[in-house]
Amino acid sequence: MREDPELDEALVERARAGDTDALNTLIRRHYEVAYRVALGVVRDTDLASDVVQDAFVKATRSLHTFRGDSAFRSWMMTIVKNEGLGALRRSGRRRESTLDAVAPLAAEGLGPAETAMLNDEASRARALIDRLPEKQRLAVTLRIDEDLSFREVGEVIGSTEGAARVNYHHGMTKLRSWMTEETR
Amino acid sequence: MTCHEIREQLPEFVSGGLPVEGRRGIGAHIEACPACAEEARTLRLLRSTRPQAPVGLEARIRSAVHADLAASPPGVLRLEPRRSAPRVPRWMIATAALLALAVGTPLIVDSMRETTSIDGTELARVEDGLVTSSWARDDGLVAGAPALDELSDEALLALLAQMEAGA
Repeated sequence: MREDPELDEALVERARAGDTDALNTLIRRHYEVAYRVALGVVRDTDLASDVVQDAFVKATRSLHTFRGDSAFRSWMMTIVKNEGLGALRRSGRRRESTLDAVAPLAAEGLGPAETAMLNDEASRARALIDRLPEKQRLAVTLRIDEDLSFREVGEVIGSTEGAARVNYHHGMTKLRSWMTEETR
Repeated sequence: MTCHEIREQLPEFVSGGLPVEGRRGIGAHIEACPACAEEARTLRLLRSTRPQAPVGLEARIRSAVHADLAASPPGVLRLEPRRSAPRVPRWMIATAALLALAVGTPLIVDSMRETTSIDGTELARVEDGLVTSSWARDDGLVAGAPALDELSDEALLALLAQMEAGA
């Protein structure tokens, strides 16, 4: 379920007034999403953790510039994405896959063989998502993993809502096509 | 609804973020459309295996944020914005600062050491001769230049004075 943006804004106001509990709540609420966004950009689990930490430090420093024109979540994720791109430039590296970060499937009602097969399928799908161009990859993962609206996706990837929609559909079309090819 | 419209809403359908009426409509479509059903299955699978942040990351972020707040000298880092009543029209000062900045940027970059801040707002940080700080804005822009409209009049005037002194 999506977080209430007004509640985030209220927390931002309290954090600006020096309320550290409010700041901690904002961190707790958004660090998981921030981590996945960072991972989608840098594709390295250790570097993604560094990126998220640095992004929260910078966001806290810049909290007084947040005007509420957009949701706090997309503002925060924009900082994470840019911090990730900066980290990639500084490190001069680009890892190939996020496979080691895929969470094991919860095996409710499934046998070991079926669970292993589904985990394998999920890993292959994640590997295929990694092959998408950056904006398509982010649009697909932000929609699927985080339920971000197309407007929010656009804010994060630096495009219009319409362009975010196009990036998502192109990404999903490619993903479907590649998955079909793999199963042939 | 067309398959295209259905697929746009599948992420919310899979996560349970749709109202009941929407869920029913999409559920009925999926029962009759194997292609959309397959996409919903893939999304469900991806959603259930999305990467998880490492244990301890939240505490690590909290520590870093609070350490940064505690380590910042008074006035360099603040959560609460400082505002003052404008004595000179802001557009005039901002325009002058932008013009001066456009001419004087290389000079400022050369003369800076690590972090430069005015009126408590960090303007830039230099690492290996490059300005690396970004100014995060909620309009989606992270600009490579100071957010002049966030500075007080005193800060803008101080920036101009600093540039003039540097020149």
